[in-house]
Amino acid sequence: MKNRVPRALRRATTLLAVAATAVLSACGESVTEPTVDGLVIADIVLETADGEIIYSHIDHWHGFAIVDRGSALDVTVHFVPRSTHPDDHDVASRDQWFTLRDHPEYGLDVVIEDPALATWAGDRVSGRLTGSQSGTTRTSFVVRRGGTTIFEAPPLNTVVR
Amino acid sequence: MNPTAVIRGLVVASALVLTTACEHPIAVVTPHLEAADVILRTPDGVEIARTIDNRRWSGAGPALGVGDGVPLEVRFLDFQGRVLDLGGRSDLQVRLEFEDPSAGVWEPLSRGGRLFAFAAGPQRLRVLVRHLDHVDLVTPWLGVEVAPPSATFSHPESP
Repeated sequence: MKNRVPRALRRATTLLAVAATAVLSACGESVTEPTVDGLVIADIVLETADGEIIYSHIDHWHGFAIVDRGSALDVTVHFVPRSTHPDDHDVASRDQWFTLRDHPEYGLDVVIEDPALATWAGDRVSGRLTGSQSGTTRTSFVVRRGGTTIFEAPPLNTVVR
Repeated sequence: MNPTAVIRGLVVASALVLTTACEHPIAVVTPHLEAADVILRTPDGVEIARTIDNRRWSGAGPALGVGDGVPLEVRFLDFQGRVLDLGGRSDLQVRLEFEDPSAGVWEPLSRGGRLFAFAAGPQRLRVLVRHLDHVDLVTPWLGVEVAPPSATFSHPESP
């Protein structure tokens, strides 16, 4: 009996070491991020015809859309694959921007909360925001592939003055 | 009790724990924001409003005009009135929000942020702190009066 316990302990230790090694090796490989086949979009950058930049950053926007009543704002819609650090509020460098021009399987839905104030007309690359009536509303930008939502920006405050 | 059986039991239990840990990796836990009160101040340190026991506000709040970006800093106090240092806490997101989300917006910056109002008249806003996927702190609503737009109302400059 006196000899059995240490021997059993040795075996148990060996078994544990093997099990731990196997499990930890497997864990190391498998931080289970779902793999998505296709575009990865983290943020959106709106570039107006006169060079103004309005961009989302994780859960908020830097800037907002302003359009005069009866006027239009032409906008090119860019995306970036990765957000900058939460405390880094600069826009992503332009070499990271891309549009959906070369991705016909993706669609861009732009929805204005109060369509009486402003309207959006465009395609997956660019669009025109037209102010109809003074006031404030919010605009959603959603990228879809088929019926799947790939990206949704936080609502953009939109002002018609 | 048979020692071998005990050891076998321990081996099985340990393997179970290891396997479970693999399927549910232990998250990095960061502490909640233990703030009792909030101070709104200008970047040069002028206090413009503070909460009292996070039940009501003292002070007039920021002077807002439609389209103006008002730079603000938010400070947090513990229950003894000491300022809490949030330096480096990227897991905490400080936000100001309007009761009517289309009435204005908070633009967070590396230090503080800018508050834009879009609708003239009486509005209400509050401070909240998001910690990962939940909210650590919400203040009462702070009533503010938003002045009509100035002639220079336009796009804000980039930060």
